[in-house]
Amino acid sequence: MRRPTATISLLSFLMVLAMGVAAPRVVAEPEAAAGEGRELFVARCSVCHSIDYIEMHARFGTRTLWEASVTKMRNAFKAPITDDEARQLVDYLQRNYGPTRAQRTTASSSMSNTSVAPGLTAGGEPRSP
Amino acid sequence: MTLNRRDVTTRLLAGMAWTGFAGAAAGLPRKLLAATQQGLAAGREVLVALPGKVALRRLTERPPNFETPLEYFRSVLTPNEAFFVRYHHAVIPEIAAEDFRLEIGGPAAERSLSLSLADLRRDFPATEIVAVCQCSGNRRGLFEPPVAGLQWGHGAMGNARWRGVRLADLLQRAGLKSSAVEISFDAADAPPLEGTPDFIKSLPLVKALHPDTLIAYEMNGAPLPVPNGFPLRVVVPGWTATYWLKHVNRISALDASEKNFWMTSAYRMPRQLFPLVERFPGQETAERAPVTEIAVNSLITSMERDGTLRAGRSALSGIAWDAGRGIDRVELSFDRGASWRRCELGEDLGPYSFRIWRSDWPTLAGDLHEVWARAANKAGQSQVETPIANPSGYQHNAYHRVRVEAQS
Repeated sequence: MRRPTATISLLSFLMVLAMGVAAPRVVAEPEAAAGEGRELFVARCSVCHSIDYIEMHARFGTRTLWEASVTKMRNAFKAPITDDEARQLVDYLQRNYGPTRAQRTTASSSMSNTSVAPGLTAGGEPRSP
Repeated sequence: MTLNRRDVTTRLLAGMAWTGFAGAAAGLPRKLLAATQQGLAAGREVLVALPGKVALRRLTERPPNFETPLEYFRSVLTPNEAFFVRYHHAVIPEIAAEDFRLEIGGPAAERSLSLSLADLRRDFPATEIVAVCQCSGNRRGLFEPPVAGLQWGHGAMGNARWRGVRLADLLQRAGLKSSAVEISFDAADAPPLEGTPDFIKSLPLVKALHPDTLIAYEMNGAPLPVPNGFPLRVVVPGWTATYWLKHVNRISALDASEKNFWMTSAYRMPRQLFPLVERFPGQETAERAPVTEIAVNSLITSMERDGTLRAGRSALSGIAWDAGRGIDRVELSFDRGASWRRCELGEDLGPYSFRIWRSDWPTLAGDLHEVWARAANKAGQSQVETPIANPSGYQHNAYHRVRVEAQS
């Protein structure tokens, strides 16, 4: 098994420097939004995956989408979620990860007609025309 | 988003593996690596370095899904440390090379084999091939209207020189019964919950026995990085990465079609939506067919740091690839598709490889807003102007369009 070496860490660090960045700070895995339903989300969903699966869908996270997602997690992936819990989870997801919130938090990141995806270049996403 | 808004994110996970939390959450303390992770975050763009990797664009932390930033596609081979990472399940075991065994058998095998990595290298001829490994859902995040699933940009792909043994040689050693119809693959990674379908995929016999289909132990002259499948992965040139199982440790000859979730529900599309040459008839239904071949595609890679091109100043170059028919031509349009100019093609590393292309800037009349790129292969397949909508957002191969900034 290959293990990370000092060389690789140094390379990463140099790359970070080369990309023009400021002072370091420490972050952990992204956290689920606070509020009613959060504990249930952590108990039933975080067992298998991190919250960023949810965040990436927020820009089009309608109730229909969240219902379909929770159903898929129950039926296809056998997540142990009761009917009542499913309703609570959909409520939580809709409340915290719906398109309104997405528009508020990622207004500058919306897809451009020119198909350079957000954040795919070293310099980040394309500016609006 | 500008550079001065970026800040460094340094994550010191001493004693905690990048999948360590997954293991703990599942009651399975499978620590992969103790590591220092470094990355940077800017808005929703998060670049994180997994162990042994440079900073990649993070889609999800657990299971880990990371895509390759576009700048790494300027070279024809994608560096191992920048190669994209895609996992379905969060439990990723630590594998000791000396203890590893590859089990080969199944109901349609004459005999069972248990091979060490040393056995593989000693008893079977090594072979090499350059091939693109591309996720079926690469560019899903570019579909409009949006499609649920990992919101990949352009970077869920990479091109490498793979070295390993032919799957056909392994199957010949095990012996196939005349009843064999598919070869299935299982791997060492696993879902945290016991009830979640394990990631098992199968290939039709004709593809499994193809001389280009490998069980690889090296990419680009080095052992596979852990997040790219150490110690062994399946290499299926021309087909999407869903078949390229990582950490593969069991190969089974089947006398009936594999029917698990990952074959019968996932990675499927409405039939006839894409002009496939190599299909998987044993897994097709009246309505749906598995994703098989990589669609012909291209990418402009010479953008400036802000993601745009400067007319007459920026280089004009990129890559094109397909499922192995070979790239016939790459063309650029400077007038939104009204006319097209053929590019010069670079070195040919084989039909499954990225092909570099380049062009000069034409003399332009009037304002220039976008450059479009499109490729066609030697079978007459070409990219489409608008992506072909499908329920799971697979096979996005619309022209690549890049904005041009006015000269300043």
